This record gives sequence, structure tokens and C-alpha cells, in this order.
Amino acid sequence: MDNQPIMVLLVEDNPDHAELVKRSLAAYPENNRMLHVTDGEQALDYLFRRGVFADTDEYPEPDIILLDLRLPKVEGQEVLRQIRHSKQHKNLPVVILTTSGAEDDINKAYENQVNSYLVKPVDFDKFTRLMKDLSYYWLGWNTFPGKELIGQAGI
Amino acid sequence: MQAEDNKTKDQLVDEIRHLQSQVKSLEFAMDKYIITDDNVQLSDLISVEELQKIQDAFSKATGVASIITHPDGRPITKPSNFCYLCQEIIRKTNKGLKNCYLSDAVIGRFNADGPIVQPCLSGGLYDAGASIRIGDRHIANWLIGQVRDEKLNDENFIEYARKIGADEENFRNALKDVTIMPLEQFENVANALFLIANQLSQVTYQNLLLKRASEAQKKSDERYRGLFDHMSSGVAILRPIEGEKDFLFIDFNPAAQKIEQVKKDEVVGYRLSEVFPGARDFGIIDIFCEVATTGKPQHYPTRFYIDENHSGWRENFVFRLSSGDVISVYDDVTERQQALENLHASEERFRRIAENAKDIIYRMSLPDGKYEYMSPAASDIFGYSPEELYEKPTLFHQLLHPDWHGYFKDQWNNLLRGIMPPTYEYQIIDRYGRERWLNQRNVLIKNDKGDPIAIEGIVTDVTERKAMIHQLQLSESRFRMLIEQSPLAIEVYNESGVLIQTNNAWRKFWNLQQDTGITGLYNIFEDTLIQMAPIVEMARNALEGKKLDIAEIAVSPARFGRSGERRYVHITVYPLVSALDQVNHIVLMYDDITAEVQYRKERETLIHELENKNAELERFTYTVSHDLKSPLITIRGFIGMIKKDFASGKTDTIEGDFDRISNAADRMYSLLEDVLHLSRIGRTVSISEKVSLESLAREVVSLFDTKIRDRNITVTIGDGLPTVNGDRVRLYEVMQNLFENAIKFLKHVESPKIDIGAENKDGRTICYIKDNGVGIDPRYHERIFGLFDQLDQSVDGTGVGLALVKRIVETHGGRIWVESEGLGKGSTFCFFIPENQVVDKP
Repeated sequence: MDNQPIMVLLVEDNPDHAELVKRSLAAYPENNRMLHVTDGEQALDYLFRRGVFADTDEYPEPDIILLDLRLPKVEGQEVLRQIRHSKQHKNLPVVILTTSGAEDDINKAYENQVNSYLVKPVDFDKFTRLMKDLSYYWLGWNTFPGKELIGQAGI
Repeated sequence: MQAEDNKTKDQLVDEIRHLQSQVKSLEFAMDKYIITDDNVQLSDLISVEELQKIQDAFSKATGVASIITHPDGRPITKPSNFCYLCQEIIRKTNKGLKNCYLSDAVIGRFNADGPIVQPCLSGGLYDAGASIRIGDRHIANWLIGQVRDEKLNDENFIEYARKIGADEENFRNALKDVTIMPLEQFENVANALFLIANQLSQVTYQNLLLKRASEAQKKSDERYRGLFDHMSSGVAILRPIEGEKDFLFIDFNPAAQKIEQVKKDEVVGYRLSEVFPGARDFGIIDIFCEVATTGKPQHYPTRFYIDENHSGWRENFVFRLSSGDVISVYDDVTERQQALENLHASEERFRRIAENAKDIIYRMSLPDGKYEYMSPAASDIFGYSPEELYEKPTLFHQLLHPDWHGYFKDQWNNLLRGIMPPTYEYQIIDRYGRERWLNQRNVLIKNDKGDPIAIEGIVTDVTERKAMIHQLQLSESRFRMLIEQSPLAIEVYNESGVLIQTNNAWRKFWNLQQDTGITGLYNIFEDTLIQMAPIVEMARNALEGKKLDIAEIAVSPARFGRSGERRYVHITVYPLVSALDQVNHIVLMYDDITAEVQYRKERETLIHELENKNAELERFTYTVSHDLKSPLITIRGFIGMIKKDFASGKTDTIEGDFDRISNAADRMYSLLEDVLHLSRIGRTVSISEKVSLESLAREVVSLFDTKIRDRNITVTIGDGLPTVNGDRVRLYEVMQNLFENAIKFLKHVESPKIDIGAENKDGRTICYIKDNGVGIDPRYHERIFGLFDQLDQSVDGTGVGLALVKRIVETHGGRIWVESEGLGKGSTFCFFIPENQVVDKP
């Protein structure tokens, strides 16, 4: 197992939801570090190193993005589109984590080559379960582009 | 008729009388011609020597002197046996000679009964005379005499000598020598003279006739020669060869030479069979032989002659001359024969045409009304054969339709006066009871006098044509009625583009009482109305046979000089094509679809509105469900967290988590309130009243009085805010929301300012609320009016406010937008509401 933590960029405007995600993921033993921005504009600025986000020490390169869709300023779908159209981030795994289960949103996300589309469950147990699975799968089992898998994957 | 006959008879009688008189005068003239010919003299008939010989012989035989003189006494012959006294003495004196001539004329005068015997009027010796005559014309005198008997007194003679101036002595001596003859004897001699003179007259007359005859013969010969040489018929004179059935050419006239293309010397003197080897086969030799034998002239009718050199149709007339020669007068009738053949062929053709014609061709003689010819078509048309009609011409009158009897009666009377219409149509009922229409064309044939003698004509059965015309008229009237009653407005143009027909629907469409002043004058190709251009183009295309259709096009009432709104029509333009495939009319048909177009436009607007509303509703439902879900997740999430924390005894976060739950619940409540509020707007904006936006602005500003003072915001309300028709409560909400927003944007701004005002732009009064706050990135100028869209999560509110404002402005028929140059540059929210716009229904 690599000791390097997996960098997770959480894009979530609702501070309560952000708190729930952070706490849930922290509850599982995966090695990760949570980075949080509150709107689409910030997310893009982060990825493309604009403004304060130019500092790579303070804002390390994310390995995966957890992206809400309903975001102020720039919508989640637009963020995803720009990621997929950028040279440096086109392969970046993006997981949509949203309250919307609308068909249009789902289809559009896949058209923009999303890696996974997850709907936040209202039920707390299910929410916890999702966070656990997400943690195991995306932060545990999943291999990321640009990194070599050494030895046995997973736990 | 009888009167005419009488007249003809009278005329005939007149003619006969006239002819008879002419013949008589001609005969008379002929007699006169011979007898009254003054130019004829005795010497022309009998030579003077011959006369002299007769006279000398008579004088010698009788012993008397003799002379033949002209009727006036001038001598023709020389005196015979004249006495010395008369010859040398009396006639030598002028007086004596004159008296002698006078005496000879008197004594020689015409006397049919006998000789004149009397003493000479000159010397007084006995003389006698007889006249020589042609018929009753006296042409000469024959005188004898110069004798005396003893009774005559010498002294009387001597006295005469003195009278005429002759020498007495000589006279006396000469008197002694005069022959003495008793008077009785002299009278006998005179009688003999009379007989001889009469005989001489007879001979002379015969001579004259002979002379005339020979002159006539000569003239006749000349005439015949001329005829022979110049006549157009060929003439051949042939002499039979004894014991052979052949002839020798004696003569061959120029016409014959021309016909046969031979010279005279190639024919004359040669045998007929040599010159014309085909003559035997032709059959003419037999005819010549027959004529030569019998002397009976023969006409040898037209036959075809052929040998190696000659061929052609010949017609011969053959005679025998008194000499026994045979003369053939013949013609080359090849051309005539060909013409005749052509005529026959033409007649044959005509006959075939007539026999096979569907029409009756006939000739009727007048005034009897009998058919001279009728073609077989009569059987088809009348039901009676030509033979039946020849037999009984009145059959036709039985066929005639009763309606036409009067007409025909009149025509018949006119006909006999030579008046006839060249063509007429009438009805018959044929033999089988079928009614038929006939068309008859006639030619009246008149004789030289101008009397009608026959009608020639053609009768055609036009029943079908009549029926067709009737059908056509029916169809025409049906067509007219269809046009007139059609619900479509119709314009019919001729090929020049002139409007020639319209209909009821057309007048209705254009709101015209009648189309006078338009039809016959309006020309579509001269229409310059821009709106009409596509229709004119269609009409032009229709001229080329194309049918075109425009589903919707506007027409201006100005087209026919009316006022009013423009109308929409569905128009079809198509050509009417004649039997010759030529476009002769253009038809415009159109339907007023103005109402439909208006309905459709309204419907489109409604549908568009509905679609917008639907989309909005969809977005609304979606955002509402999303946004309602969010606080639920928060609530249940943190309840779960608290549970876990309780279980693990971890308590430091519990209070904060409860706050989160509480806030989420509040937020949910406001969301539901706002959603309800928003949903009501569409339904509740209905009260239309005059609303002064300026007073609204003042109310709103006073509402936020505290906040304004706390934050030290400078607020100005400018002039010119309009008064609009609208819903006061809703418009208040607009003002309130926009003002509240402005205050929010001014949170961290030094010397914050809000301007409320209005300005005129493009004829609209645009209201604005302007702040000098954070400003809005132009990228988000549209999004901020969306439901639940918030630019800044830290700012209070649910994100419904601007959506609400937008909705209210739009339901008032207005529009709202934001102007901002970007972050930190402040924002200006602008909207307008049409000032006198009646507020839309919900």
C-alpha cells in the first residue's frame, strides 16, 4: 500500500452536506485527504490554478472529484464538461454526488463522460452505506491514472 | 303559266313572220343581185367579134344595114352594110350623128311584143330595132334598116341635109344609092331580127348565169381551199385503188400534217396502208371502203390509233366526193379524250363521294319539286331510300316536323321567286319516329333567263351536334352557377390578364355590391401592389400551364381600392386550357383564412406560452424536489450523526448538529412558503388598476428605513417613474425584492448608494434600481433570475426572489434584466411595464 493519501476534491455548496460527506468518509480507514470548494467557479479555479489556487502545496492536485450538480455561479455539468475538454484533466475521475435523480441530469453527465453518478439518499443508513461503499470502491479498490499499482490492491 | 305560254306562242309567230320576211327579202336581194348588176355589159357575155359576125351575117342575108348599140345608142359593133348616106354624110355631121344615136336608142327600146319599125329620127329612112335583155334588164339595142321605098319624098331628105348642114348634092347622090325595099318586106326582116335578138338575149342570159356560176365556183373553191388549209381539223383526200382495199393520198391538209407530224410530200401519192400501217386495225379502211361504195357519209367515233410512229385518239367524219374520192375530216381528240377520262374519273369520284357520304346530296328540279338525284344517305337520315323519294317526292313533307311546316311553305314560295337562304336548320321526324335536326345548304340553279330550275344541296344530320350544343349550354350554365355559388372567391382572367368574371364570394370578400368598373378593366399583369407580386407571378406561370398554390398569403384591400385590414387567403391559381392545349383563361380561387390565421397565431402564442410554462413548471418541480431534498438530507444526516455520537458518548458536536437540523427545517419552511407564493402569482395577478411606481418606490424605501439608516445607505428616488396599469400588490413585491437585493449587494461596500429612477429609451419608460455593490459577473446575468439560483450561498434567501420578480414583470407584459460591468462594479436592475398595457389574463 502506498502511503501517499488520495486527494479528494469535494465541490459542494451546501455546508451541511459537505460536513456530512467529510465526516462519513473520515469514519472509514481509507487514506485520503478532503479538499472542499463551495461553487463551480471555485472548482474550476482550483483545477486550472487560478487565483489563490495557484499554490500547489496548499491546494494539491486532486485524484478524484466529488461533484454536486446544483452549484452557484457555474453548474456542476459545466464543470464536468470543462474538465473533460481540458488537456491536463480529461482523465480525472469525476463522481457526481447530487440530490438530483433527474434523467436529463444523469444522461448529460454520462454524455460528459462522468465516471460515476451517485444520488444522495435521504435515509441516513443508506447515506452511511453509500459513503462506506464509495470509500472502499473509489478510495480503496480503484486505481487512478498516472499512478502505478504496486503489490496487492485493496485492503 | 298560261300567260307565259301565250306570250311564247306570240313570240314564236312573230319570229316566224320575221324570218319569213327576212327570207323573202333575201330571195329578192339575190334576184336583184343578178338582174340589177349595172356593171354587166353585153360584151362581157358575148365577145364583140362574135356579135359582129352574127350582125354581118344578118345584114348580108337580109341586105339591110345593121348595128348593135348600148341602150343609149352608142355603138358596140361596127356598122354592117351601112349606106353611104348614113355612114359618110349624116353621121359625119355632128347634128346628124347625135340624131342617129337618139334614133337608135328610141328604136332599140325595150318592147316585149315585137320589133319597133319606124322612120329614122335622123335621116328618116326606115329603121327597126329589138332590145337585147338579161331577164328584164335592157342591155343593148340591135338596129337594122337604112332602106326606103318609092313612097318616101326626096325633098324631105334634102331639107334634112340642109338642117344638119350636109352637102345637098352629095346627099342627093347618096340618096339614090339607098336600098329600096318595100315596107312589107322590111317588116318581115324586122320580125326575124326580133326573134334573133330574143334568142341572143336568152344566150346572153345563159352566159351571164354561167359566168356567175363560174365566179361563184371560183370563190367557193377559194373558200374551200382556205378552209382546207386553215381548218383545225385534219383533212385527208384519198382515192380508192381499183380492186384493192386501199387508198392513195391525194391531199393532206396542214392540220393533218401537224396532227401526224408528217410533211405533205411524205403522204400525198402514197398508199394509206403505207403511211398509216395501223389504219386497218384502227378500222378506218373498212369505213373508207364503205363510204366509197355507198356514198353515205359516216361518222367513225373516237378510237385509239397506234402504229410505230403515231398514236392518239382520232375521230373521223368520212364523205365521198362526186369524183369518187373519199374525204376524211378528223380530229386528234387525245386531249379531249384525256379530259373526258379525267371528267369520268372526277364524276366517278364525285359519285363515290355522294354514294358514301353521310350527308344527303341531292338535286331537285323546279318548279315540279322532283328529285333528280339523291344520295343513299337518305335511307339513313330520312328512313326512305332515294328510289322511294324519286317515286314520291312529297314523302319529305310528311317527314317534316310540324313546327317547321310554316317555315317550309314560306321558303318554297320564296324559292319559286328565286330567293333562298343559303343554309337553314330544321327538324324532321324520320320514318321510324325519331326526331332529327338537319342542316341544309342549298344552291339555286337558274337558267339563262334567271328562272330557278333546280336546287342542289347537301343535308347533314346535326342531331348529335345539336344535342352536344345543348349539353354544352347546360354544362356552361351549370359551370356558371358553380362559379357564382362557390364559397371560394373566384377571379377569371383572359389570356391578356383582363379580369372577365368574378363571383358572389368574391364580391363578399372585397365588400363590393357589384363588380362593374372592375371586370373588363382590371388587368392582373398591370397590378403594381407589392403584396400582389407573388400572385401576379403565379398568374404568369399559369399562362405557361402551371397550377400553383399558396397556402397563406396576405392581400391588401387597396387592390380594389377599398380600405380595411389586410386579409389572409389560401390562393390557388390555375390555367384553363382549350382543346388546342392553349391556355385561354387564368383562374384565381381563394379562401379567406384571416380568422384561421389569427386563430392559429393566437394558438401558436398560447402553445408557446404553455410550453414555457410547462418548462418552467418542470424546472420548478425539479428544483423544488431537489431543494426540498437537500434540507431533508441534512436533517436526517445529522440526526444519524447525533445518534451515533450519543452511542459513542461523543458530545462536542451535538449542539452544532442540532442547529444544522433546525436551520435546515427553517430553510425548508421558507422554501415551501416561497414556492407557494410563486405558484400563486400566475393565478392572482388580475386586478388592473393605475399604479404609480414612484409612490410604490417611496413605500418600499420607508419599509427598509431602519436598515438604510443602520448601514448608512444613500437612497435617491428620481423623477419620471411612470404610472402603469397593473396589480398593485405584485408590483410592490417587485419593488421590494429589487430594493432588498440591492441592500444585500451593498453588504461590504463603503458609502453604499441606491438610485431608483426611470429613463426614456427607444420610446419606453425603463425603470431602474441601481446600487454600487458587489456587482454581477456578466456570465450570470441570465441565471440570477432562475428559481433557487443563488450567486452567493452566504447571502440570505431561498433564491426565489428574482424568479418571482421576473414572473410578475412578465405577467404585466414587461421585461426585466440586469446590467453590471462585473464584480465590484455595482448592479442596475432594469424593467419596463408597458404604460397603457392592459394586464394580461392569468
